[in-house]
Amino acid sequence: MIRIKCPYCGLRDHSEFNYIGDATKLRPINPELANDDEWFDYIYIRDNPRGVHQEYWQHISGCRSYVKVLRDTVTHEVLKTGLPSDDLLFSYEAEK
Amino acid sequence: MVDKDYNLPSIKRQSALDGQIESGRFGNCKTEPGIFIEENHPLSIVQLETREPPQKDFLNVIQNLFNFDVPLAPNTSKASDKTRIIWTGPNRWLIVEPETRDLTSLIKSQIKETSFSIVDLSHARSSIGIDGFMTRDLLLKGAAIDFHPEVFLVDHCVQTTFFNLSALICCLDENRFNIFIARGFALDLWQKVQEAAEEFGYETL
Repeated sequence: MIRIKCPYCGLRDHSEFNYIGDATKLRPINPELANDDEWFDYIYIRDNPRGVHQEYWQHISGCRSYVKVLRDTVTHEVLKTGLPSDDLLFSYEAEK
Repeated sequence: MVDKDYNLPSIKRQSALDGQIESGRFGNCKTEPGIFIEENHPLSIVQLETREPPQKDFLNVIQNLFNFDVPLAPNTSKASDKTRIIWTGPNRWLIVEPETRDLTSLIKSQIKETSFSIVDLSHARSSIGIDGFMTRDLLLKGAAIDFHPEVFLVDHCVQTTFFNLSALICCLDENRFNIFIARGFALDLWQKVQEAAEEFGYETL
């Protein structure tokens, strides 16, 4: 069972959350100037990393807020959570 | 001070549990029932949301209307004899009271700022009340939340999945809780609570 710490409600089961998507993708800074390749990359191209991954979840059965989650895709361990605006930095080396 | 009457329309609000509740004692009721279940109906349930953290004017209006502030801490509620305001998300609250007046119009007429939204959910939510010395044990069967009295205090509230239904659970007193749920799931919740209360013995009021 994955447990996710909602920044508002506290630690809850992941069944209360919906997975929203990859949190590393950034919308083109100047949408009017972005070309088709940039839009295609933003909308469709997703990495499938082995290890630490930054993603958005929504606390759909709770406060409905978006939560940024740093999760290890190998172990499913939730390493850090925060508000969508938070920068979640993590490295296994630094934690040792 | 509110000088205008905010009367309700004459049409009676129909409960989602009309005709479904059989009063009496059921289950393992050799002695006193461990659980008492009742429907809270009719209720005025109003959702209030501000875009930014609430401003002073907004807080003053709520204070004047209900004689207490909105709860700003997550998972908490505040109440007077009649009205309870429950935190349901960042800058979002549910105001609940027995339905005696048009609460939505009353609040709307008082708040002057425009960066808020108000939605009347009286028709869209059902509420059941659970009381009795086994209430916290019953709640534990349906939700992965710590309901220990030293952790889940009076006026504490939580939005979670309760028997796989999205529910808002609010602690009114040591062993007295209200559960709010979308109207369409009211009968499902009622039956699941009855089933869970069987082993403790329960009385429906």
